[in-house]
Amino acid sequence: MILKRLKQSVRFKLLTLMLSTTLVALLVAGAALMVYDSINYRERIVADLTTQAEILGRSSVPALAFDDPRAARENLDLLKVRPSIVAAAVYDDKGRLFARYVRERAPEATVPDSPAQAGSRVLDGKHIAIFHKIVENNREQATVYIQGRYELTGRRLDYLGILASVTVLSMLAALIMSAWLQRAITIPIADIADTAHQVMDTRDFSLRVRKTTEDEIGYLVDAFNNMLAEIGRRAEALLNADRMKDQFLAMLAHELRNPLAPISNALHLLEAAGNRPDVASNARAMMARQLKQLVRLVDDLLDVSRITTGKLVLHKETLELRKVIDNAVEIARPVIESRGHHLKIEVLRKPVYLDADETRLSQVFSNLLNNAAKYTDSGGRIEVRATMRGGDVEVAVIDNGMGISPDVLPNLFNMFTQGSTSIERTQAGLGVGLALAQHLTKMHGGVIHGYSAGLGQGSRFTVRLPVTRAPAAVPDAPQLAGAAGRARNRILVVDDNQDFATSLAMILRDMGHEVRVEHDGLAGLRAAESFQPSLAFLDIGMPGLDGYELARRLRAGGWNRWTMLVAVTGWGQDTDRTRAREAGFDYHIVKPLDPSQLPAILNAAVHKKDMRDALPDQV
Amino acid sequence: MSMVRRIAFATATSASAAVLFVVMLCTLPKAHSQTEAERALEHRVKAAYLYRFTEFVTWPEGSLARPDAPLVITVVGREAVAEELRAIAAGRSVAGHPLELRRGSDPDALRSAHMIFFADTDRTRLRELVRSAPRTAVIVTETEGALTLGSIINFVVVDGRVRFEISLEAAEKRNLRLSSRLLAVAHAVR
Repeated sequence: MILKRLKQSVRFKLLTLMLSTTLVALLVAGAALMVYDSINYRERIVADLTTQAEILGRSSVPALAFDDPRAARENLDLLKVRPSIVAAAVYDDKGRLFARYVRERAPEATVPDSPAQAGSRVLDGKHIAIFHKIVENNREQATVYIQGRYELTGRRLDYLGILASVTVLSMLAALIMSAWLQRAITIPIADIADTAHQVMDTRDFSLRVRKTTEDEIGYLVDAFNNMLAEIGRRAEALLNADRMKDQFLAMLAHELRNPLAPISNALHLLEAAGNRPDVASNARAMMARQLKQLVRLVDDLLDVSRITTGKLVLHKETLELRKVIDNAVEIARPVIESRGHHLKIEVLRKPVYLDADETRLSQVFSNLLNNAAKYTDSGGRIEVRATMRGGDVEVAVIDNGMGISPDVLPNLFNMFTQGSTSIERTQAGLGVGLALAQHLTKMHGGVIHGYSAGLGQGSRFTVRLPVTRAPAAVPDAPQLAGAAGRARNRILVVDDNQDFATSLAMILRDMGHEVRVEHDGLAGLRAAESFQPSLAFLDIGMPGLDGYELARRLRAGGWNRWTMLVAVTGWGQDTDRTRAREAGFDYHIVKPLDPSQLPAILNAAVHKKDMRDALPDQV
Repeated sequence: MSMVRRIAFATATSASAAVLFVVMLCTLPKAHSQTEAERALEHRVKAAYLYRFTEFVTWPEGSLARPDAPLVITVVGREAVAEELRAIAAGRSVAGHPLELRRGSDPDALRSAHMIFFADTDRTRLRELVRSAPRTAVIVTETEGALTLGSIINFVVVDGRVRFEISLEAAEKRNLRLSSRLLAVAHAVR
């Protein structure tokens, strides 16, 4: 177990690496040296003996010429000073032995009686001999024989001994180096590993590794510590986000449930109202208000979902700023008026044009106005002021309300952030208004800022947007023929939600149209063929035949292309709209269907070709 | 270039080698009791030595003026040695100088000689001959004590072998340089 741990440790690997590298390097170098020396040794010895033979031979030429073997022997005796030469001889030009020398300490050495071929030969593994011819005056004058020691085996043993001792010394050096490396490298790494273990065990991201060096490992330690800090921050942020999500869910449930009680009460009132029209009317007004609040909540939710999934798409066109602000004021007016605020609007005299999505940009300002109205005590002052800032226009929404506390300011535009919870819950909303406003502003290439001097000091929000050139000509808005809306149409409603189908049919009949209701796709198809409606509201999610398929079959059946198909569905994503359009729908409405939208749809059904002009943002 | 540092021959002379072989095998007990055959051998050895001496002698500048000037060896007396030397020297040249053999003691034969062998000469006559020899000739003798009379190389017989003694002083007087390798094998050097 300990051995296994050891084998996994960096220290062991380093040690193994150093030792094996050293060993391999030494063995390779040693082997190469030995091979080289084996080849080289003989060459060197032969060269040495040849030189010796040449000197001996030349000095022996006169002795040979004048037949003086004594002089030749004296020459040969000089070899005593070379212990490695054990025997030598001089032969005359006829190959007769003229003089010989045998080393005293090597009496076993012998000299051949006659010379052999010139060159070297190894005698018995321990000696090497050469015959060398002496040429003087272009004449072969003598042959010299020299026999020397040739101790290749001994030499190899010597080499092996040296190699062994060098290896031992190198291994010792490697061990010492490894110890040093361990201090310099493996200990800091082990520190990191230990801390990593601790962090994994305890989930304590506040732990840090001690930095001991300034090299790459020091950098690693810094990086590791930074990562821990970052993970700590993110874990905390995740926890916060989680907490906020929980709060949001609780609040969402609360917000969604809030309008239900008044609606329920109003229903009871309606039942009990009998023939008291004022009570019934009050109850209906109450239901309408609460429903509107519910729809607004769900719309906000859908927007949040679109933003978080990145599916929010702008339909930009050239717009006048004034129109956008008027739209926003119109949306916020009920809240502003209900709280009795004074609204002052100061817009530039010259028209300012923006490249913007009318609905979405209006939403930005209506959210700001709604906030201003909600967070200002009754009878407050709200001001909308537009000014030019270079090539941009800046619209400020200013109130003298409760302001924003400094600790909330940095998170003002975060999703689900809400100001004071002390205001009426019916006005509260989901805390996504400013987040939506910021996101939409960014999508328009603008910036949004919020300022407040503190609680009770009022607040000021500015939206800065790039200005575009004025359009060449502003076309007249298409005129919707009111008469057409009141014309009698044949309308088919297909929806498996019986309540929705029935209520829609009642509203439409009330408007004077001829209506037929079906509750599944196949029945809808049959009814359409016999009824020949000019307008059909089709649910998408239905048993048997879904809305897409139904629309496709109706279009495929050679139906009058001027008959308008309207998809009514809970799915409001852009992909759903695209799918509906591809299936043959002219028009896509997200439930709940607001009855106020109906006249426009009915008009469009009559003048189908004008439909896109009439309801630009719905298709 | 008249300076001849070393006189070289193109090939080994089989004649001199044969002589050496015979000399090595023979032992000459005493000059007085020499047989005819032994005497012939001695003459052959001396002829061969005369020829080999030329390899170890450097003549002074001007002595061999032209590159193809003949190197003249004059043998005075001892017909047998002259004959042997003629056989050895026939057609040979030393560093481009063809070997030329002359005989007799007349002034013509002596005047141009580079090496003169005075054979079997008594001291009195030798003294005169040496005096009449050209300035730069190597004087070779076989007379006992000849070195004191101006001879440079004098043959002696030691233990039955033909050896030679050398007078460096006489060589210097004649501006001749003898190779140290020759001195190494000399029986004696004075």
